[in-house]
Amino acid sequence: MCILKTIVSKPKLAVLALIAAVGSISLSSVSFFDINKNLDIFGTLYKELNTLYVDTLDHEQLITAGITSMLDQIDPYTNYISEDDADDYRIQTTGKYAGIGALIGTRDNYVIITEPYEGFPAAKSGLQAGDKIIEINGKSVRAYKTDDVSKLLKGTPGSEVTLKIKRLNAEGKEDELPIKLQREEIKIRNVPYYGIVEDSIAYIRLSNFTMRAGQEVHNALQTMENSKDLKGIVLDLRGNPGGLLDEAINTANVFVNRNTEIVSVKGRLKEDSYTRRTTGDAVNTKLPMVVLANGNSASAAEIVAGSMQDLDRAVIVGQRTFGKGLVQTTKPLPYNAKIKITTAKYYIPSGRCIQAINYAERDSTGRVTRLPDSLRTAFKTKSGRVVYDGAGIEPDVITEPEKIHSLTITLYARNYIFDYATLYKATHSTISPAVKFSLTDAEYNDFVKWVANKEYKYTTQSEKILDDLKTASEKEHYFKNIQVEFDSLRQQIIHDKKQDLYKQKEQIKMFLEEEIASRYYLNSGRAEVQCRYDNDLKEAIKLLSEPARMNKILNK
Amino acid sequence: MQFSLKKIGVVLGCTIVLISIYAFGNRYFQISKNLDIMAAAYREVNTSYVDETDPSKLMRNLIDGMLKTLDPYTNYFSQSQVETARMEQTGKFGGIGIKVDIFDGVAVITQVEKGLPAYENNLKPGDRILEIDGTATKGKSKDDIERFLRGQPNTTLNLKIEKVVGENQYESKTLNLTRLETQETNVPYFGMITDNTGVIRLKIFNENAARDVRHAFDSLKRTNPNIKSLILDLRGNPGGLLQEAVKIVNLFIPRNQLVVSTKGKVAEWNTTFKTLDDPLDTKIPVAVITDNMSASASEIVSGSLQDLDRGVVVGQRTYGKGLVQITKNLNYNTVLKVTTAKYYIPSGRCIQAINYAERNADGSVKHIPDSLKVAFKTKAGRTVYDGGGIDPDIVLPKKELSKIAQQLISKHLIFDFATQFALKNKTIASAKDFKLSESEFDGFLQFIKNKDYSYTTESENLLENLKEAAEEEKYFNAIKEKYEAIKTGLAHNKQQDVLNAKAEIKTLIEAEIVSRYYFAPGFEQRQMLEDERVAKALEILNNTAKYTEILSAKK
Repeated sequence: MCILKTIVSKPKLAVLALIAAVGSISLSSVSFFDINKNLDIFGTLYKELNTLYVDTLDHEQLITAGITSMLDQIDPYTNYISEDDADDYRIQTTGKYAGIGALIGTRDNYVIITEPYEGFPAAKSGLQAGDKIIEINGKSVRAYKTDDVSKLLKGTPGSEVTLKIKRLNAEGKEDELPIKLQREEIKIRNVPYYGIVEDSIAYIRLSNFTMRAGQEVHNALQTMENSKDLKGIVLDLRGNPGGLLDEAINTANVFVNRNTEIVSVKGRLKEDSYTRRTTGDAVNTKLPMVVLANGNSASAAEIVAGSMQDLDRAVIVGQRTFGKGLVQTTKPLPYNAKIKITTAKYYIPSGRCIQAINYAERDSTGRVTRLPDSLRTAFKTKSGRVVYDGAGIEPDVITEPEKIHSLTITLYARNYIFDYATLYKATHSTISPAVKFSLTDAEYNDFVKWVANKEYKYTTQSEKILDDLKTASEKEHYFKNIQVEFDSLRQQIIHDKKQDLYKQKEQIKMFLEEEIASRYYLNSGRAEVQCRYDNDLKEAIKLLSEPARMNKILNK
Repeated sequence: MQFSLKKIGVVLGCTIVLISIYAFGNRYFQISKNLDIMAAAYREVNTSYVDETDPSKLMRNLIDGMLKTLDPYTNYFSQSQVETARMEQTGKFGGIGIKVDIFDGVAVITQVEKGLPAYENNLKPGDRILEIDGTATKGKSKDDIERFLRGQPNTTLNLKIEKVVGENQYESKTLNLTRLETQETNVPYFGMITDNTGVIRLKIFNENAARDVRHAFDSLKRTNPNIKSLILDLRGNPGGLLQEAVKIVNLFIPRNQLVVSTKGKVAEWNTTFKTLDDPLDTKIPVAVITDNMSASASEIVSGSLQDLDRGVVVGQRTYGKGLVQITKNLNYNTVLKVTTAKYYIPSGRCIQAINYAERNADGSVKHIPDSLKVAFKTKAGRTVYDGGGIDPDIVLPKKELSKIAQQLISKHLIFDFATQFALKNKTIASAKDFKLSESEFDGFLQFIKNKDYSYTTESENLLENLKEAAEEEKYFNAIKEKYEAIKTGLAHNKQQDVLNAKAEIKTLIEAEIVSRYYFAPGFEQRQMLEDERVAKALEILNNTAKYTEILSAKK
């Protein structure tokens, strides 16, 4: 203000201010008027509706439905968060809550532990996957829903909770055991696993971007560096749905120097537009690096993968990523409600925005469209490689995703894999370390025998189509012509299905070993088995052993 | 200690007042709280969203989303939909008298109404519309095109069309037409179907529906004094004005009888509708024909005649719309159509089939289950039910078209053949008597033979899918032989399919051709001659003993 005083006199200042005010009103005056007009329309309509409607209105349900419907048609990330949902939302972003630290599910009318988290009260107190919870603090919780049990297990840090559980023993019977636990603040790990593979490759699995994700990656790499001479890094972002933008920057910072620009965010409002640079010291900027990504790597994960690609810091291996280049901000609403709005697009170092779906332009039926390849723009990485916007991050080395057979899915969905692991744990006090653990042929046959007694009707794609074919040909009056062959064909497929347990042995064995290892070694064990079978990881390791090939890809 | 009743009364009274003030205040709090949240959310989106927003579109989505959770008949019409709103309210609109459909991406006239501007300008079914007021029709939906065609009465419309002059031969033309105020015709056809039985086809309950039915009935009586029975055909009639329904029932029952009562949220607004006029004929046997699309006002008519044992109902169970709406004009030229009440017919039942207030967990609606329906009694003591439309006294389901017939219709081959037929034949026999000759049917076979009507049955498609899936799941080698055998079994001679369904297809072609020469009245007449339900109704009406038995049976 003082500066202005020397340039303009007060009356002139007032006029200028008025012009500015009027000017800014007229710029947005159209939408300002529209907003109020529409609110006016709504108010009038609602009043009449309330008076005239045949039934009494549930105002909260009705208006919430309206808000939700309006936001649904904008984009999937712009959401209304009611006061009731605020708690869940907070856990989602912070990853924090206070409880015993375990995943739960249901089986036979009971809530069971499906996975104790390493290092937290459940695991520390000896709770195991498969344990049925029958009482909490003396009260029976039989037939309770997981939500209700979850509420009872959560509580203030330091408070105690006593459970009574049923656990399968070696004789096949269930023992009842009391378990006492002290609740802690549970922080869901962003890095659920890290370790050195093939002697000298640092593998870090990052599954989320809640608070402190960057720090966890930093610590993981630092720890591994301190223990061995590393030859390469693999950062696994497959299935990572994203999260906090700042944590994406912090994660990138582990591998690139201070003050490197990672993203530029551009929104309609000034307050929603900014750039973000790395602010700390890297752990290692030189070690060759591979980032694993797939179609479920989104948002913050794409910021990391994309910036590593644009800065030629890492080779990306896997499948094309999701394509979410939109940034959301949470804004407060009255009465403790919140709204999450897409406020900006983000642009990674080469200047591109990788948003794949254009929510603003829909076809005549209202469906969203994807940017056609011909309209994508080319950008350049630091070393001059060509990369594109408009469709996620395309890997430098493309691999095939694993195809899961419908039998495997059925065994998994019917919890046979889980239950067999529970049985195995009850009857084997120890197993080899996870990196070596494997089921022998004889043990696999045991599994086949065990499963054969179970109901595992699964319908292959082929059988589903056969069913449809019967319906259609009956309607079209052809079925009589083909009935004999049809029945015979169906029998043939059923017969062939019996062979599936052996045809799919490799895949099913992998799922079994992973689940069994987790019973002894928790999540680390599971990850170690997965890494053994991981084709993408194998490809990454191969790549890291060929520095010439890597440099060629990165154009260095 | 003395308990004074008066004291207790006062305390109780105060408590009740306090509770109701609290509840009252609480309701208002709920409204203002949620309105506050909604306004803040709406403003925030319009201010901070990454792209430019359209405030009106957003509000429209909000309102539509909100009203959708109530019931399908409570709707919002924005300023831009003022014509549609008026049509909803009155049934009237400004138009040129055509119906349009999209065939292979092109807008084609499918029906022309005699006497209206399109007819006067020699437009015919089969003609294509390329542009409406300079806007290309290509890529637009049927609803969009109908909206462009409608407008304020006495406004002009410029059409760029292609008149059909031969097979795949068109002549371009531009026309200016003036819209006339029009509405869908209530009674497109009435006549004597036999020497003794009259039929009145009522398609909708627009303004003057009752007058039109009265006129039809009157006319039949005058020209056929021997008329012994009447069929009122309400197939596919979606309803309309409630008062018209009451007046139509009034044709058959005495003055001053209760037909419908409506009940809403506020008791003072409940209404009853009695017959106000003298009837036309309280004795003549009446049969009402219904199907599953007969709704609302149609159900008032069929249901009342059933409840008063005044007529037999033949056909399918009706739709089940027992809700009443009014339209309210709001600010900025917007309109709200809102369900204000349920209606109850003479026996006291409400035939609403879906309870929109009680939904499944996923928000989907369900029909009221049979176990929850309540029994009521007609005047003569027959048992009837609420909660699920009007159950006919004689149930006859709709006949489903064969797959080949459906194909010929959906590929508009019957339509196109009729168009060419109409170009080559100046006149035909009467609507009632017209028959396609053998050589003319052969002409149809010829017509479709030359067409690229690739008709892969659903079965054939699925078989291909099976091959792909079996290959992926590694079963194909095991089943290859049987697969080939099935493929042969499914391979069909399309010409044979048409011949197998000859009678059915011939009927469809004849009806379409009749409509080109005799328009809606001819088409409706034709339909009634072919319909099994009409035949059944005739059978009952000619059998006095049966008719009486049905109306007095203890169900």
